[in-house]
Amino acid sequence: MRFIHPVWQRLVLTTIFACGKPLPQCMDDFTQSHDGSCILTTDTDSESSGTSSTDTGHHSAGADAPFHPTPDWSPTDAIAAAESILIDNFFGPVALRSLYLERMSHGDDLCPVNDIDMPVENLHGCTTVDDWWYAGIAIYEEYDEDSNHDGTSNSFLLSGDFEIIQADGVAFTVGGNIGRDPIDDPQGWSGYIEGSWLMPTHDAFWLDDGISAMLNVTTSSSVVSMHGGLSIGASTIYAQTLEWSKEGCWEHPTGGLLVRDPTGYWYTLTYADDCSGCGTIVSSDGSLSAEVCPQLNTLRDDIEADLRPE
Amino acid sequence: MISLILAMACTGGEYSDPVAHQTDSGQSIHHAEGTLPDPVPAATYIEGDAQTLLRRMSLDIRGVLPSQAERERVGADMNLLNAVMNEMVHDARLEERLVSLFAERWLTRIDVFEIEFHDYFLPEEQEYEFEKSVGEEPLRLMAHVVVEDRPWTEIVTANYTMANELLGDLWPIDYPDEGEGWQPSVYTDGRPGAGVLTTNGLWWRYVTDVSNKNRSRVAAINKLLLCNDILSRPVSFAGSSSLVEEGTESAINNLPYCVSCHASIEPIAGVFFGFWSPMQYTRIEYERYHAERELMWQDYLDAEPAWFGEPIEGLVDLGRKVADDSRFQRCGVEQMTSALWRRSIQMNDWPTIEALLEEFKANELRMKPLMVAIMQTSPYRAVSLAEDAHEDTVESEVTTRMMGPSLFHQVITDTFGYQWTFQGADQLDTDSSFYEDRVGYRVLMGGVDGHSITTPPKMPSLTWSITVRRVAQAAGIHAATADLTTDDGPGVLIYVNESTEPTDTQFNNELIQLHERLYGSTPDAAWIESITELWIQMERASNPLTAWGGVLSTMIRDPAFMTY
Repeated sequence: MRFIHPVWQRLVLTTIFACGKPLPQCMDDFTQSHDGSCILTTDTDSESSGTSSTDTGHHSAGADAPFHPTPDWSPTDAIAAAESILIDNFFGPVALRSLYLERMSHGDDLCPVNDIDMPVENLHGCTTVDDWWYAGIAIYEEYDEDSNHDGTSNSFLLSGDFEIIQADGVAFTVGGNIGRDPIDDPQGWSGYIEGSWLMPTHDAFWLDDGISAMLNVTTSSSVVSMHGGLSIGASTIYAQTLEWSKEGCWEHPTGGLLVRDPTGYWYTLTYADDCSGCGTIVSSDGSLSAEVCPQLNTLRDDIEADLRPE
Repeated sequence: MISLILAMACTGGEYSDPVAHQTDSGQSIHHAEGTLPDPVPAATYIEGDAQTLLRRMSLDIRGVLPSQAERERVGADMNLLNAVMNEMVHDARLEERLVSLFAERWLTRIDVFEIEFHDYFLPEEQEYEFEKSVGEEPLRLMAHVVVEDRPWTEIVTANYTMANELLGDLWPIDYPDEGEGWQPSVYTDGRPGAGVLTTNGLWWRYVTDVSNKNRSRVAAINKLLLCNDILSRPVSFAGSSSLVEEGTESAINNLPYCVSCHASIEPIAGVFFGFWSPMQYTRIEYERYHAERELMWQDYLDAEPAWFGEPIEGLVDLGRKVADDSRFQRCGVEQMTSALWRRSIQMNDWPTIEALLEEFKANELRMKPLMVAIMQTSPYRAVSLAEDAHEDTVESEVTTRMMGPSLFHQVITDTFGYQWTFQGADQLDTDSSFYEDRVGYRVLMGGVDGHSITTPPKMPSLTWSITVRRVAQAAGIHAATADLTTDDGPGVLIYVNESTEPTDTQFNNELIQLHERLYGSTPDAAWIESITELWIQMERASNPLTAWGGVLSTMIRDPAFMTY
């Protein structure tokens, strides 16, 4: 068989049929060209000889059409979801360190060797005499000049891919990094939560539902801020330089807060510059919008409380 | 030109075919000439007869030899062949074949992912099942779309994936309660529905890291979905000194040498941050989608999500943009054509691809009609080239197909009832284990491992031959033993028993049916004489059972069986 461009195909076919000569037959779905080769035609509905390529009869694109998402929430739904995550629930890097160290304190001399780190030798897991299971790798570093590497340093980093399962089966599962570092401001600290942190049944909502984040928080003598993405369970927000400033707006933040609905569409709240704590929230396709005033001032205090050393 | 066509078409007298003619053996020959300048001279194809093509189609589409009923039904009638061909694409075994064919191009069937079976504390016996399941996820989704006769666009718009019991257990997937094997399933971690673009299996194969920022994934989808190989583009190092001075990130956005590619790469890379992790090799991070990272392009790439200049919302929109891209449709045609032709697409295939694309569009982008059309093209049906074919053409065309490991495995299993496994792993479908205490033979037999070997070879190698020999020995004696000593053998030997002598009619009938079944042709007297002599010698050295095992083994190793 031979194929030619459809434009030529039509021209050739028209020409051949105009001559009216009998030509050798081709298979169904193919038409004889002037040179005797068979050209594929696009009219493939014939089922007369069983060679049709469209004889299935069960094409069902219309009945079960591919998924096309549309915004699923109202703007107030979106704000309610953000408030449920952010109000009175912040569980920052220092709180996560405390949880980690508490979990590690249940280890013994052989498993997982020490109470701060999990060495690579522990990759495939070990069980303590009290039936706690430790598996994976965890690296804990402290950077204070007078650090004793005992979990009390102000500056620290914890990087891990591990699972700790207590005797009754409750698991603390981690794949990520946390840390706290000083910033230029003498009273300033920055912290971060990266990756996944999960502990079902924990009292803290964030741990119970599970944290997935790429989140930075800072506190200084004059500013508290949050920037980055945070999912708690199925609820997702993205803080766009959310900032409380004593020299600007302290009671309410400025910046932006984005919320994602279950279909994958984002809603964007842009705070007004008047320190009212209100702003317009708009769905990403612009079809939905509303004026809202989420109450996030407890979040500011929670960030400070977590980050600022005692 | 038009007058030339009119003159050619309207010359009086008998119809004269200017390029098609008959060979001495009666086979028809067609020249495949393009309307574009041909870098490689046009091929002159000699097409196979109905039985040869029946065998080829059955192996390509179903992974099994044609049945005796099919062989008898088709006979030498090409129209009946076409009828059987049309039925084959609706055979349930198509799905398994498609998975193998797609694996050769998508390269997701690797032996080692960044997350391994031990990360889930699975036993070693499940290593192969784990790796196979992960790697097959996107392939199964594509195969499902084809088998269900859905538009090809669904591979990038489906709001479901395909999962088996293992993936249903390990990943955040809602697997049907009563399900068995691969089933349409739904991720429960909030990821958008974008078909293969939202499968763990694809992104576990095409990984990224902190500095790469998903760019490698953009290259992958360009190649896999648009047939646009970014990595094959020439790179100028004229600006390399500036690159050092400015830094990579700045150079990407400012140096013309970089911008020409990265201007389209970065806006697409931005949509994949939901699959990006700050830590590699981390199970909990890799198995889940991270919706909160979807907007990280703002901090990491400084390029708003877009599909080649058209702004998009993010991953949630990507599938539809890909589906609407005319290159995606053409690429689907090229991929399937290449898979069935067993060679890459070249410049002078352009008219054929164009016609197939029209067929594809006319059938609402469904693959089955396209496969039928491809199997009617001369490059598919060719069994040889004209003697005067240019050496470049001979080099590029594949008129004799070699069984690779996956097809060989399927045929051996179906025909001889033999499976070569070790520690739960199909030895022709893997190359190594994590602990390296098991070695597979996939690459040695010409397979694709997805990393070091990415294209199946056209020609047999020494290791291919050795592997075939070992499998043939095992399969031959297995089938002979089962057929001659039990009631539930594979049914390869149907006329003889352990006391049948070469002088018996059944002996001769057995050889004839074996030749027809395994090779798709009737044996000549010389072959019967030589294989009978082989049987006699082996029987003298051992016993009838071993002799029949040897005959089967020899027939498997014959090029007439291993090629098609």
